[in-house]
Amino acid sequence: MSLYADVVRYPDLFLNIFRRELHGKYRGSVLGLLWTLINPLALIAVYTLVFSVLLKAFDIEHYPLFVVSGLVVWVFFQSAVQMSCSSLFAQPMLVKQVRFPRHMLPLAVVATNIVTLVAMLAIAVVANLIVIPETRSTFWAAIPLLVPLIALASGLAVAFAYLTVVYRDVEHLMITIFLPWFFVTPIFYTLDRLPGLEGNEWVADVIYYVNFVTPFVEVIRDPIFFGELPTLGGVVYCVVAGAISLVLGVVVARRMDDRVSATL
Amino acid sequence: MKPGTIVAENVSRRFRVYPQRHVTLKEAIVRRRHLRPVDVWALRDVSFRIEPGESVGFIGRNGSGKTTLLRLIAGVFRPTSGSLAVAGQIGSLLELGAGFHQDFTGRDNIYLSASIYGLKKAEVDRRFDEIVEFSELERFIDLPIRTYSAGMHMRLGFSIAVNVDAEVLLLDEVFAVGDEAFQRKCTDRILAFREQGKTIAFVSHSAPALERMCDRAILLREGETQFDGDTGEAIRRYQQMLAGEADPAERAAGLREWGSGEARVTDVRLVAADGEPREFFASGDPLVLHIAVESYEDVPPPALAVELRDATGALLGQSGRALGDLGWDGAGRAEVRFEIDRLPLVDGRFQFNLTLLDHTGGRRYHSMEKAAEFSVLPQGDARGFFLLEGDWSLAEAEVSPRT
Repeated sequence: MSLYADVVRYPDLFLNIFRRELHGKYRGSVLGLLWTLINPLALIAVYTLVFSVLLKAFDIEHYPLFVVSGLVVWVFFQSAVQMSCSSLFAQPMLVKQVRFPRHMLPLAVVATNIVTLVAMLAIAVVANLIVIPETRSTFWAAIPLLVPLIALASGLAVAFAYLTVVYRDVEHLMITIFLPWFFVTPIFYTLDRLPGLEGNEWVADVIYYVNFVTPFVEVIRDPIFFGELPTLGGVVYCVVAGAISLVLGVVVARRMDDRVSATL
Repeated sequence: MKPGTIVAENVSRRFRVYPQRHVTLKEAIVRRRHLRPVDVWALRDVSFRIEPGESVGFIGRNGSGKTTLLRLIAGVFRPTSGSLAVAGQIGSLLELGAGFHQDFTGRDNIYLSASIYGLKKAEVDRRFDEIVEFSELERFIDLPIRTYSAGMHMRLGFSIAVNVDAEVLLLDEVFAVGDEAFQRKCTDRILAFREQGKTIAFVSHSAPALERMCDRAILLREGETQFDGDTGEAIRRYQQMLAGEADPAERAAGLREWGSGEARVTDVRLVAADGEPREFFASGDPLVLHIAVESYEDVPPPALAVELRDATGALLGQSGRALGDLGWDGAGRAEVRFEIDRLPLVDGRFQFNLTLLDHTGGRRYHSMEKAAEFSVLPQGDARGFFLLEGDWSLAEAEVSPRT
């Protein structure tokens, strides 16, 4: 686990790489940060229009706020993992010629995505607090749950950054997987209000337990949108999933570190 | 171990080379058997001990493992077997401007790159002024480096790398960067490093650079140590090794000098009419090429050939002479003069290539590309490449009366 502790052990290095990535992502301006929020906002508008207004598929009050409350988690997870894929691959000279803790590169990418996560979450929570009074007593519960979420993204980010160097199609594969994955994640619907699930409850279980992003979406959405505390089972699941992901990152980085510097 | 010590014990390094350049995950899963990697041993059982303050050169052909060895010392990857230990902070000039971000200012990039080399912010703060001063970029330090020229990039990268305060310095072929003045500064800095008693590991093809920098050189061949000792001897063996090569392209690969080594050109000087060494000549000036030759084995006096080439390497002219005809018996040292009364060149940069051959012309003792380089400045209204001289006169004319 010392791999992750390096962030604290070499704070100056991490901060510098983080600033570099941040600059790359937001072009060094607050406007750049707003720019990255446009995509999720557009998604929310479209889903509201299609599912809530046109299809009247879901009878969920404050539907746009419902979507944003789940989307916060997904957007962070997807862009952190996706953007990390090329973090080592794009720096061949650094990986080949210089000795430094190179796993910092994907971790810095995750850190830049935390900035967007916090910005989006702040917007969602404030809007929910105003519109849905029940959330005022529960929203705080989402904050500690960001820790396992960030752990989940960090472990996978490190693993995929290393894998991308060795296997060149990983990045494409991720793009291909993320779209269907998004649809089987209950972001613009909830598992307990799907008419097609009657008699087939096991499908909901599959979506919940196999798609490991689902519990994260739910434990964060429950307190900030539904005004309910997250279920204990959900919290335990997230903590365990986050830990497994961190271990996976360490295992992949250990096994591939030598190969990565020799291959690039 | 004292800081600055490098100890390698039976270091071997294997690379797995895959039949395809890029392996995809799909192939790795679907056609496992077709992807058998081939093992390539870049280094085999290399052992040496470098004491603090030593400057050691690594020579060998491309692919002999010298760069792999440097990367192992740098800690980029580890030996497959054996052990390699380096004591003290390592400064690496293998990659200048590590991690530079084009949109950052020079100032931000100094902090970024130095942190990648392992410096803390406070340490960079202390060295900041020196880094900027050395790079001569004071006026540009707050501009984004995408506005810098390639030379300015390199200067900044070099300045950061040499200010890391390392006990061990790793140098690659091209450590001197930028214009001529800055190159001199780079070389001075490296030599100062040497005088301060720091350890230097240097990879190069250039015999003069190796001889100036290193007291000791390690000759590598196909990943194994062929020789470890005096630099001059290592170079001589290296050149012998290349002379035995069948393929002439291979023989000259990345090298400005090669030959079988029975006799060698040991010194070349360009001298003007006043006897002073010079690099710039005016068109039509006299020029003298002083060539010192030394023979190491009992061979008949060799022949010396001089080629004049332009900056692109195109042959402009050549001249040769059997040194025996000049009265040298071929033993020990000789100093040869090649005098040009009027330099028939106008403008540009030129070079002399030298070759020492045996008296029959069949065996190449020593070839030296760019043995001497010089510039010619135009005089009067002469233009072009070649000094076109001739006498103008009126041969026949019809004088018509003006009205």
